[in-house]
Amino acid sequence: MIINKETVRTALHQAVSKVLGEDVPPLKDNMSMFEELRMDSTTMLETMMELEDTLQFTVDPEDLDIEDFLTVEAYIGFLMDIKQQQPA
Amino acid sequence: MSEAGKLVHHLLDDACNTWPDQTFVRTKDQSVTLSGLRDRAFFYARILKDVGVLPGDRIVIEAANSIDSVAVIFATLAIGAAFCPIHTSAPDMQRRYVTENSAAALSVCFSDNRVFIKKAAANHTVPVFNAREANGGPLGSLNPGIISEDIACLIYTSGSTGQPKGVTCLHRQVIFAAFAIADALEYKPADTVFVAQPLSFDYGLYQIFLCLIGGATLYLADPGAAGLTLFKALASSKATILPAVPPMLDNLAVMAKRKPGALHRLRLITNTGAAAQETSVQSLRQCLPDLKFQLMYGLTECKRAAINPPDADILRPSSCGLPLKDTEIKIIDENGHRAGPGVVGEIVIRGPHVMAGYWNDEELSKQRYFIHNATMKELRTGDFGWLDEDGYLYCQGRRDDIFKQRGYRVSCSEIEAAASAIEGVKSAVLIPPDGKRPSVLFVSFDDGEFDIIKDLGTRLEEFKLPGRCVSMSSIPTNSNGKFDRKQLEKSIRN
Repeated sequence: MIINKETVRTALHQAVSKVLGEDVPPLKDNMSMFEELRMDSTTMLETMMELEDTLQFTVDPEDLDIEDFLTVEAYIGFLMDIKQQQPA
Repeated sequence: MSEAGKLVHHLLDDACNTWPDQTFVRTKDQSVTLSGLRDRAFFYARILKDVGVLPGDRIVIEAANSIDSVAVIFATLAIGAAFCPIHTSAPDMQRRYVTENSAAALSVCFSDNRVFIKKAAANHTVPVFNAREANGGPLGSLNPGIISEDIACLIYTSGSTGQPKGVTCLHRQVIFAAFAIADALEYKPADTVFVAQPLSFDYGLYQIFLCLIGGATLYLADPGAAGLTLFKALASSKATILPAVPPMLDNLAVMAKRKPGALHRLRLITNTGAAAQETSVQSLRQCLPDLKFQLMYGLTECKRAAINPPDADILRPSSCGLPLKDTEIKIIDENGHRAGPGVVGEIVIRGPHVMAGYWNDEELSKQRYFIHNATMKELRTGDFGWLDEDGYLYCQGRRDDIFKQRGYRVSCSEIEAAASAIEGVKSAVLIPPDGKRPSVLFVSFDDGEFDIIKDLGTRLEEFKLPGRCVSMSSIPTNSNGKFDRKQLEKSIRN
């Protein structure tokens, strides 16, 4: 199954909204996860675990680089890559 | 008593004499030996002297987690000045406040591997240090004529009123605290200590001194590596010791289960800032059987108060340790009388690690650094807790407006004052975080709402910013005419 960018964006939006417990504005590529979305180390972890459930993948902790989580675009790119490696 | 009369920068000279070629500081892409760091500190010391810094002056240092930051801290001490470390995310307004409050002679900051000095309105770019042309020597040889009764640093920390306060730390107090902690934690030359805490906090800063005393290597990580990427950074740095705050442990507990083998070198985790979640500690113990925990308690006003012996929390869950060697912790009741074991009261600390007081704040210094019979000084922490029969401390937290957010100390009144100072804001009330719920700032505006968090970001460091903001037409008050915090708290619970 090939997953498209907008599906991933929606999943990320749902995960962030659920973890923060509030309405999050639509996610634009250039948004910063930490400054604009006000994520911190705890909410980032919870978001990742939520996405593992909804998109069905498992991260290898040694594959996690900070550059992949700085912006919405980078995060989506990371999720697309991992879904390509773990299609189902 | 080999520590009598010792100054903080002598720690670097001593370590250099014992292990000159030992790697002292590492970052992701750089490393420096003890003698290399000393040469670098010597180089910056001359520059600071040349721009007119005198013994007894204060210097504000933007404490980035870099080799140059460490070198400039020692350079400052070596010429007899005191340093005031500030967080790299400190906005201009905070920098100005610390500079003015401490009456600093100048400030030092770092960008793109260069060092900059800001003095009055002028900016100087410091020449690049060249190890091959280094012409250093013992930092003690610069002998500025200070004694261990002089100030080593002012650490600004959130107090229970308005602006941060400069906890004033004398050389002898820092030295005592560093050796007493080193005695309890026993860092060794084979250790690599992974520091993702900013050096502007005493927890991060003292790792420098502990590594020098134990001959260990200090790995300065990007503070961004405290979250999802902590596991990878820890594994690739080959760290053996992790000084942690609770959110780091929660992250690590989830990830370590997946690949425990990658962290086989990790032998010790210390925790402070707030109580560690027992489930996270347990989970880490299960997947890393050789790992030990030392849970601790302390506050900048005395650096550290209590440290558990390794894994003592297994037999005494949620304890945060025994007092440092040659110090005392007692609990007092509301009348100021000593309370017995098992009785909850205010935690009071006595000993040579109790710092000098708050810079230029006589009122607050008198309150917290209470002096009995005009002679006997003790630190009234404002934290509440109890001691068991064997003297182990159990901490329950505060009863004033100071709270811990992501492991760092923040005060409601400081954030409320900063928010209320923004034009267009009528009033602001902060409700501290509770469990998983982040801190929430309630704001009412004169007319027209705006994004106040963005504005607050220009006034406060990132780690102090509230997790959420709720705007209201007016903030409810109780029968005393005060803001009704209970009602606000209830409104977010529902």
